Amino acid sequence: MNTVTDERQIEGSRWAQARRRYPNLSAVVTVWLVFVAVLLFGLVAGWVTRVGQLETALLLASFAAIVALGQHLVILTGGIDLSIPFALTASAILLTDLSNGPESMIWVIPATLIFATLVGAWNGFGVAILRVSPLIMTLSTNIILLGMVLAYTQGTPQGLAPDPLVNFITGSIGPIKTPIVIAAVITVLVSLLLLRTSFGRYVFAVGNNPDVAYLSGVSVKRVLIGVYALAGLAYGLAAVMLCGWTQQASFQLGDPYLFPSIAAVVLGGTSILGGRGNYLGTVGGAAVFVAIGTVFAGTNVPESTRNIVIGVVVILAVTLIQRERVTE
Amino acid sequence: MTSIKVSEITKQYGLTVALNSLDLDISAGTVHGVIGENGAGKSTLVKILSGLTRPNRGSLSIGGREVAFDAPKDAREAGVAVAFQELSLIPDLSVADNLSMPNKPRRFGWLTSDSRSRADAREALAEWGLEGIDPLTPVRALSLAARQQVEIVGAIARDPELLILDEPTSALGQAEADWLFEQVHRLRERGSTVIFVSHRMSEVRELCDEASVLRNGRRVGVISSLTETSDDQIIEMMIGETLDRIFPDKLPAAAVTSDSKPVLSARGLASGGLRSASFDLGQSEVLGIAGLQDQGQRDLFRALFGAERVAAGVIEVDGEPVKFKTPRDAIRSGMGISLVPEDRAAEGALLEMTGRANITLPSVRRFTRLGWIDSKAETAAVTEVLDRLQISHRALYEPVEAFSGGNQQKMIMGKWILSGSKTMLLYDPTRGVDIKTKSEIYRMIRDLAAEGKSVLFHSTDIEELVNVCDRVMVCYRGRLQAPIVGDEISSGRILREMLGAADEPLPAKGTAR
Amino acid sequence: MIQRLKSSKAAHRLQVAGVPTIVPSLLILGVLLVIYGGVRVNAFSTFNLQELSNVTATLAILAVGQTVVVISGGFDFSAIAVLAFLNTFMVTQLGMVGDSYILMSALVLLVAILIGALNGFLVGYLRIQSIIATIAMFFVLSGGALAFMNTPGGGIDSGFTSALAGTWGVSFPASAGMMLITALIWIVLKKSRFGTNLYAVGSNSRAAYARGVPVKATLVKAYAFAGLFYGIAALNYTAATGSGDPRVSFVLLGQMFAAVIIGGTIFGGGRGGAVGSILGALSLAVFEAILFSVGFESYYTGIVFGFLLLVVVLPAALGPHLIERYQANRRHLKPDPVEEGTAL
Repeated sequence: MNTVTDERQIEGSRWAQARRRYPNLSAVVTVWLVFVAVLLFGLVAGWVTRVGQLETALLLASFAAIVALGQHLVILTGGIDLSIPFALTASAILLTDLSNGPESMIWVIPATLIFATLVGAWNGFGVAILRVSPLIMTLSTNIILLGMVLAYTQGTPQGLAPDPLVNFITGSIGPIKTPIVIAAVITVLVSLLLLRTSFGRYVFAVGNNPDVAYLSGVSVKRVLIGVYALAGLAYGLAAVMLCGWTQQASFQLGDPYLFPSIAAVVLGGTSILGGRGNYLGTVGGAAVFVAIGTVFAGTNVPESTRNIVIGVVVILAVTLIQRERVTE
Repeated sequence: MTSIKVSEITKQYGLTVALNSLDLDISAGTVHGVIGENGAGKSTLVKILSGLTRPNRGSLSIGGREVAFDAPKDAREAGVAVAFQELSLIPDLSVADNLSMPNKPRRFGWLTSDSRSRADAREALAEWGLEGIDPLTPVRALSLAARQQVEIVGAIARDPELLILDEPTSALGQAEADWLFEQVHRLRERGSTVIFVSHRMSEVRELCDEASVLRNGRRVGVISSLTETSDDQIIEMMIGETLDRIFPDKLPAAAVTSDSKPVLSARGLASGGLRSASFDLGQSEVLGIAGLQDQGQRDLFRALFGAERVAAGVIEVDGEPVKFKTPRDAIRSGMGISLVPEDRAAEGALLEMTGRANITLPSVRRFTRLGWIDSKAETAAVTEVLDRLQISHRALYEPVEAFSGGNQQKMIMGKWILSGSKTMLLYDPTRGVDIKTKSEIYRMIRDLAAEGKSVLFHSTDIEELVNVCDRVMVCYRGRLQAPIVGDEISSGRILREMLGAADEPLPAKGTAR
Repeated sequence: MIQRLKSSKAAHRLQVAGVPTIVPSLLILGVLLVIYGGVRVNAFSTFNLQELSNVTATLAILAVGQTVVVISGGFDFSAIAVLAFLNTFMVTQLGMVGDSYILMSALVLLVAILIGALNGFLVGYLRIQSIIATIAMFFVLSGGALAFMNTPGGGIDSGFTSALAGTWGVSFPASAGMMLITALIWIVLKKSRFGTNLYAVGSNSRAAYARGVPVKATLVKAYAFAGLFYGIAALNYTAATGSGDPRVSFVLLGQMFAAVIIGGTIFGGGRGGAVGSILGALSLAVFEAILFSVGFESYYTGIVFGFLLLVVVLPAALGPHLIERYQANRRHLKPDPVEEGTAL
């Protein structure tokens, strides 16, 4: 039936076709290859010596990947989320502060998740309804949460995460550490959500071009609020897991996740302009990030060098990804 | 006096060959027309001549001197000035700053002088007949036509050896077009060479000494005597074959409009620039809406689709008054209204997403159970639409941007066909579409009408309205005029009403477009 | 009707000349100053004014740098890391230039410009999105700061401190002087060809390129000048704190964007100005002083401040839509396009 022949874009090679069909494929593959390469480098250099180090890398990557999930969703719609630091910190402090005794876990964890989702929904409200630019909206939310945390704790966070939570998160499911299992399950769920549901379609459509989506009957506002709320839920979940892991919450809990979450999304090949990306790539980006730290952790190379290496890797990777896009 | 020679220039974008060993010879001091269909390579040629992009192969010489431009700056220095179709004006800066950029006059060495740049701009505007424009106005405050005029003066005023005008009349009315022709004649008298890129045959005839016809990135003909070559001959060169039947058959008008109940009506509708519109669109009817730019027809279409707020008046669907807050309200079943918007890239298609995702965007829920998309059902439905529209099945997996403009437009129409739309609002659907696809779109419109759907059809091409519509209404100064029916539908009649000069004699050169 | 058209034309003119974009920020500052005068005893005493200037300067000068980048159409997330990097660089590495403060300052500014130019190279030549490029640079520079010193500490010569954080003459605070110098540099930049190019690139870089503006070079210069301003801020910061601190402050990042926003610069490029950002930073300082004076627990200032930020941007965020709607409803009042054409 292909009777249209005036198309001057010829079909091209099989590889070219595959790349057109799955535009994010090569970025996802690349980022995971880089992850393997970093670990191999550590192995060859003799810095990675135990299987335990690999496990630690995956474990830390699990936390980072769940935080980056929120950023990933927001960036897919063409936004950016700067509320991460205190969305995490506030959720964590709420959880430890509300907890009293093991049984409190039954309501404290849902309460924390609901709080975080509401924070996200507030961001979505500002972006979708008040039409504030995502950068300003989430920045303002971060500042408000910072104030709320300080006011709520009067300067000193208190309380501990409930024991069963700690035991669960620091424990294992089968042979694998719990956070890794959670992250794996989330990855599958999120990939299905984005690629196989109508909501996922709408997210990409809104990120690609909100005007077209609107004129095609998509409720752009609802999609945006939904995305930011989901992002909030991801931060809530990450906060619960982090509390379970460290037992305590601190004011600085969230700060180290902000820029790495953006870097992970970008390393995974997601366009910062929205509408294009794959969560598997973002998980890979988070893994690369953590792997660089893990590789250096076994040595006496200072933290400073690690940061510099990460910065350079981001620049190189983004340059490569963009080269590829241009040649496409 | 400068002659231009383009030799064997080839430009590829990925797999697309935009220019294929193009040759062009332009004698010094002449106005040379470049005509061709969209996608023929006109805009790529402009980009290469202006230094915006570099050719893969071939050479370019100006006045016998071979040149290679790495950037627009180089082209400017070589005496090439371009008035771009997409306008190269900076909306946030004043007319004066735009005209002097990037070489704003300076004093004290480093600081720029606003007063001198203003004086220069005033002088240039006055010299080229635009004394009405204040050099201090920010460009964003100007009307589209005035912006295009400023763009043109910006190029002309640099006294170029080669002036390139890329579709310079797209936003101009007749009076401004006449202004442009006058300026081009003046420039030619000064000895400049001019390249006039257009798809409007009448303008090329009026202005150019000779013309080259491009097709598929090659020059397929040079017309040295424009007066002795007929439109049909030129069209034949442009599309490479005779399309003796571009337009489909119409049913006899009476059979359609007689007493069928209106499916969509408006009574005294006002919105934005639309002041008052009343019409009835019957079932199986194609109702044409004609109008010059900015006469309110755009707001009419958007208001009927819930994309623009209704200031006054009533919209009726199947005789019942309705209110649309958003396009969702207009799309939903029961209403079944759809809009193919003006700007395909900005409002019509998700360029980076697959044809499949585009086609099912409004109706994806039909293939969804508990949020889950039934991929098989979706593929089957999309395949059916693609077959009906004669689009390659590549569209199932490949992004829309990998398709020609014509196929993109067909996919946009396909998405509304799939959504089961009863009433389609088509706003200039053939803009930037090749003639072959245009012809397919006309047939599609008639087929839809034959199936019992109704179409409101705006076009900037009057011939389309004459040949496709059952009735035509003209939008003039925000008001919809009485319908033109039956044998009265002619381009002359429509044009007269468009110009608001129903009683005056028709100007001689007012052909279609 | 004609009257209104004329006045809007005058407004456009002023806008082009660059004056009225700072009017809203002047108004905000004015209102805040009135309240401040009301709630604080001796609000405008020399000491209190010096204090205001001192707490504002670093933020204000940083915000000027950020403004240059925002006008060019980008964002600079590396600014806070540049500050930490230069601060630790001064404290740990500048013993080598001996006692010459001028040489020392010149060296810091040079390094700052080079860092900025590198940012500009990534954005202009490698075409990396500014957010990503500057985040990458953030990692590199914060790593660099940590390499210079692991924990806060160290010291800087007290002479340097009194020269750049004390008073010039009897009571004129050096911090205010540095803000003035910064504003002056900005005004000269804006009046240069680079200034026009900067706005052009930020407004529409494709069109600017087509008009012959060297887009890449303009971007490099924009980030380099931003770097220069961060350098000045670092001089002020180091002199004021008298010590080194490798930690980056995310609070400062937020305040910096807030100052830019309150200053009337619009995210997205092409519109705004850096003088407004200085006023914005001042407004923030006055605002905090007011909250302090009325006995607001400092914990709560963050909450109020966050909402204030939203309130400030809301008119700008909703405004265009309201204005567009208003214009759309009045479009029929505009002269007819056809007639307008024939008039020419």
